[in-house]
Amino acid sequence: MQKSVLKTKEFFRAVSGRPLVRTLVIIAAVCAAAALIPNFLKFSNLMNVLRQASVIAIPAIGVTMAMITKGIDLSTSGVIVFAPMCVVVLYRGGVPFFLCALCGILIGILAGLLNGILIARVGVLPFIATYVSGTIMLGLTMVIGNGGSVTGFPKGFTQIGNGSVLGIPWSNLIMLVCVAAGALFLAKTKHGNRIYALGNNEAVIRMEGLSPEKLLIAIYGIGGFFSAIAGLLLSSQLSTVHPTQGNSYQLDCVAACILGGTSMLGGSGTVVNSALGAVGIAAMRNALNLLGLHPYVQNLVLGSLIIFIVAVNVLLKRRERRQQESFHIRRAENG
Amino acid sequence: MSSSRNKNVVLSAVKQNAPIVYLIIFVAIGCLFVPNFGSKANFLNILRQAAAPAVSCIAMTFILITGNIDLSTGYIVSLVSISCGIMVKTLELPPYLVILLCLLIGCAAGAANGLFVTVCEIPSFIVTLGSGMILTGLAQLVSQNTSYHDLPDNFRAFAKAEIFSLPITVFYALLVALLAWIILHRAVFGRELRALGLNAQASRMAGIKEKKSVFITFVISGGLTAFCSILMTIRVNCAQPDLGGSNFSFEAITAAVIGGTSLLGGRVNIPCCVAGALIIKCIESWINILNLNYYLYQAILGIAILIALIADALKNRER
Repeated sequence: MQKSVLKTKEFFRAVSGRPLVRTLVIIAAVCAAAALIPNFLKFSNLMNVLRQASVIAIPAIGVTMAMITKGIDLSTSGVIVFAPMCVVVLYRGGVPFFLCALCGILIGILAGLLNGILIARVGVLPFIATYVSGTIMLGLTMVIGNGGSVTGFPKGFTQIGNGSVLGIPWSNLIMLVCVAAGALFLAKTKHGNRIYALGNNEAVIRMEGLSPEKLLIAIYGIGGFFSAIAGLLLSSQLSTVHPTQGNSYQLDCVAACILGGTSMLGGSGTVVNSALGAVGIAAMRNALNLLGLHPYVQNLVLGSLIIFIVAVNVLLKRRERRQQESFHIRRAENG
Repeated sequence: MSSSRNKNVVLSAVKQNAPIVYLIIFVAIGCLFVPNFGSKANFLNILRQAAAPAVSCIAMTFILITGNIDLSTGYIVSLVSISCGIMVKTLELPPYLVILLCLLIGCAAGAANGLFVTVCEIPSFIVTLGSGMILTGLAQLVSQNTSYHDLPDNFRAFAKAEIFSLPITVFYALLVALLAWIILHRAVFGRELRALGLNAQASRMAGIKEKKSVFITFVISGGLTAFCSILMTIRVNCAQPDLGGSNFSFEAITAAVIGGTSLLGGRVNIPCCVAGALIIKCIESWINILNLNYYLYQAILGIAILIALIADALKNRER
């Protein structure tokens, strides 16, 4: 039983061959951008793209996990501003910075766990639970900062966002560590495998005697953790906290996952692909910026792209499922 | 015997119309503890401010009833507002043509959402999240970062008049509510929509055309949102590309959910929706009168919708 499920999965993974298509799309986008814009391929600009990608890629790890379980995390933009706002307020209140940062990350985890509890225990739909909690956090950030920006991070902290070690920006190192940790967790540990199992067939988890609810809560908690780290990273890059600085990340993270081939229908997606997707999104924003297009035009392009890719993904997935069904029927007929 | 039966009837009526009871409680608390809340001027103000959210909340309800959602409402408002300004000020079209064209723009935006949701079968929240970005982009592109002040009087007359010292927008909202009530509570179409929201599979088997119905709700909702945008544009007397925005979508969803509409679909009550819109405007009025930090409004709305969501989820668990 288990074996046959695995076999069909392998079969269709080989047939559809979508990971390749995904990577090609990203490469094509980058190439198109590079061909159009003279300054794009400069080393400093490419480093800039990677630096911008890091803030998208880190929360995208959590979003990927949520999407694998047929959920989604729209609270990223809320956590990305709320965590550093708490950090800077605590720091200005005289708390040592190390403790402040720890508090910020804890707040992210708590927010994520709260999302998870709402989704798994109470039964609120994932997108609405996370949308609402993100909006609440955004509102609280506005209240704390009185609608404006708050500055006053220590100098060492802003060095992290802008400095580099051995020529590699700290932001990228942090992104690499986070992505590697997330990818290893999802691909190599038994909990990671359970996340895929939960997305494909919740009954399997129950049969194993595990609680899908606890797993879901943990997944959203991890998402909150990564969003908080991304928020701190963004604040250290900008050396300020403004309530609107996280706005674009809500959609960018989802877009990165979708571009990386994570399905809206659950069950598939990897952290590395989402990180590649994040680089693709950042490259696209950067290219549009270099072209001198207004951020709103960027939104237009990004919005169309998301709808297009999801439509293609959903149609592909549906065809795959139909093939799978007919495959099973044929197997049953042939005995 | 009969008295206990009466009690049951009253109790179930209260249960079904809980948001109206909450509204009464909110108003009572406001009158008791918030200075000047109970004044006639303030009530008129709340009614005036609640007219547009009530319309948008009814628009949202049409979509929520089948278990879908529209996160692009606020951006439809933006696009319609700015196109309205351009048509009135730059092209100088006659007011009624402008209103008609604006409604068409709203319907078209709703139809585009509906097409992607029904034909491509993409989850509605992701479609509308994406289309929201497209619509703001369009609004900004069209406006070239300008807003249009001082709209001509013959256009503003559409929503400027007063009847019995009440602004006409309130009557428009009541009219929309009445029509929505007839469609959703008294017509076959409404019953089909509720059936779809409660159990899509069974409804399909019963011969209800799911895709067509969902598509129609998106078109209706887009048109109503455009209407709401016209009312708002006239009220602030300024057509601008950032009139609605994501906060506005959030407000509409909050009003609908506080008004007892289930996000899982199937449960809806138009009078309660209107009460929901009034409740959030009462909260806003408290914050204004008490001179609290205005940014608290969004946080309080968030917490209110959270409570309503939890209550709804618990109710659905019983079901």
